[in-house]
Amino acid sequence: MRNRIRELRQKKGLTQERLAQLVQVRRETIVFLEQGRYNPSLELAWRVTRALKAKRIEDVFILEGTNR
Amino acid sequence: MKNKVTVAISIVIVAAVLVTLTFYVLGASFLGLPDYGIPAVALLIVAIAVLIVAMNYKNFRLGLPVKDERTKKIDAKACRYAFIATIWIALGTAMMEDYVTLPWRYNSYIIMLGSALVFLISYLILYYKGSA
Repeated sequence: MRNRIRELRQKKGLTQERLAQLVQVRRETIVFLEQGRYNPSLELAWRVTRALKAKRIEDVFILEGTNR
Repeated sequence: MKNKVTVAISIVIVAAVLVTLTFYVLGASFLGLPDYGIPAVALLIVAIAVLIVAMNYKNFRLGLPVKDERTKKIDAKACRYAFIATIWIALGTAMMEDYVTLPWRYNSYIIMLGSALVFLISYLILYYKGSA
């Protein structure tokens, strides 16, 4: 699973700490998510998507081997 | 509030373990290897626990949760490894009884410390590995 968390976060001008506060997870979790080293639950994926003000989960998380 | 309580309890537990360990070392007669080994392993466990408490405290100070879904998964996995390790350590100490005769309390120490050590080392490895 790839994701665009870092790209979208930087576009919004958010720090990892601020995003962690918005999503209510530890800062390290955001670090591992951005590095693609942790696959979030559906609930966390939703919360991240909403915090980054993306329209759909597919805009943030991309399942490898698919077009999106 | 829950985070505050969690951090406070973990600090109190680490402090209590350190005090207990200090009394144990001060009161021990130090006759054999296990007398040195047990406090050494206990100190290692305390050191790892302090590291974990410090990581929790850092997040707490930033206003972030002490536990999230990743750390809950790590907890569960480390518990599973520690449980399996406890069974194997208990089996190992039972089998070793034919070769080495230790007072029964040492067997308990070995099982308890082994279990705690496996839990904390697994926790640290899983924590830094990322995926849990």
